[in-house]
Amino acid sequence: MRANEAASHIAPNLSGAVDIEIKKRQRESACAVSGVVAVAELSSEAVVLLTHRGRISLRGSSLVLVIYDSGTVEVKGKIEGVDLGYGKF
Amino acid sequence: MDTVSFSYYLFGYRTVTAEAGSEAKLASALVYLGIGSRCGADGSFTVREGDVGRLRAYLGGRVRCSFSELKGLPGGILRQRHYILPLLSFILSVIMTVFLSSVVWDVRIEAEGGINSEEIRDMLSEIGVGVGSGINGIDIERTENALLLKCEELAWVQINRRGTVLYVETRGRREGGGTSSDVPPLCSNVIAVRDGVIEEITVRGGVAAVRPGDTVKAGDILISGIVSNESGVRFERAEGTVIAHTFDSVSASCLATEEVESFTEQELCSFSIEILGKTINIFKNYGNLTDDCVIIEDEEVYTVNEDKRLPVSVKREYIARRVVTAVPNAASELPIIAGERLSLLLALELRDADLVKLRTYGEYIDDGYIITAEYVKAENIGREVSVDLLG
Repeated sequence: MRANEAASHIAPNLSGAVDIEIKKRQRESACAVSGVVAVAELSSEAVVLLTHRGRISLRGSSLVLVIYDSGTVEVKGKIEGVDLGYGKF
Repeated sequence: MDTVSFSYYLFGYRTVTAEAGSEAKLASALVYLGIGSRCGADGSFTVREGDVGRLRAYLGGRVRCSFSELKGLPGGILRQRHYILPLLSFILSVIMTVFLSSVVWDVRIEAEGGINSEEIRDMLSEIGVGVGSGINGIDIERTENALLLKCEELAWVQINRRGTVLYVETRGRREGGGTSSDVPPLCSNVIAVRDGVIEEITVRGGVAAVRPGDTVKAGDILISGIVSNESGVRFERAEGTVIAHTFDSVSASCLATEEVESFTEQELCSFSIEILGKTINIFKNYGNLTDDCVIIEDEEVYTVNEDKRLPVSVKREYIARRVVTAVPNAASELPIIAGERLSLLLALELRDADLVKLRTYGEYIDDGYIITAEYVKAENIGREVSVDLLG
């Protein structure tokens, strides 16, 4: 399933509010999230992104954050897990 | 070290490091401000120099961050600024050497046969070849042909280039029929240029047609190149010196009230520099130019070894306004002033002659004084005139 489809299935609150795209490269993965309003946690093992509709938590190692001018945030590294949560930021 | 994009290097960037535990707050601030950034493995963010000001203003005291020195190309230039001037000088000199070696610096013309070098230079500039022309754009063969077509008096043209100097050699055609100034006439007479009484005649060629004491008029033959002999007539060139006494007069006057023209102090109104034929106007302000203004041009040229002119000159133009003032002259001074003016005129008249007799007289007229000098001078009145044997 595409990430957005999975997100809307698991967390309907995020449906239509954010755009999640996960790409798997040779040694790392990259997860780009648009609609981010804040970063709740940032470390090399965990990144928590907040949106107006909920939160997206990424677990892994060697995680690196890239922020684009458009507001899209991309997390790169060895992503081992993605959690989608409820709650209004 | 994480890599950054080319634009970061080109325009400069800084590394922002939040205090321990505040990395997320810093990231949030960047997201909120819409500032593109990249988080490195050490937790520091790379921010473009143009966004640093906004970030500093937003963060204030909320999040303690440290900003690195300016990195990238601007940072490198800033840190190495003491070496920038010599480096820029070197780069500029290389550029100038490359550029200046591709244009013509000088055109040297050797013209013979009735055409002077200035005419050749003007024709070359009409063709588009001169100081400042691009060397690569000059087709020498085509230029030679264009020059021959442009000037019918040219018989031969050769153009060579050595470095940035063009060498132009030309030969003019010799006109057929009559005589040119370079070839002495086959037959000529010496005639009188003015009326006079012959005092002395010295013949070096031809035969004398007058004797001392003869009165001659302008146009009379003094020495003839047509010589009769036993076998017939011989034609030769008349040469000689004929000294005669001539009569003339000259007058000078001085008015009681004379208008004296003077000029106000010169004001610089234009300043330009000419380099390789191109004019760069630095300053130009003519103000209110009227008919009473005169413009004085001054060009400062630079030479090497006193004979080679560099293709650089400074041109200045000055404005001076004409002021006419009526100056009264005392009656007692009128003869003196008129006499001084007469002396100047006499000096001009007698520069190539000897004064034999002089009589001066003056009188007061309605508005001033006039003085007249009648004189007799001894001068050479002969002038050689060629005779066209072919009629």
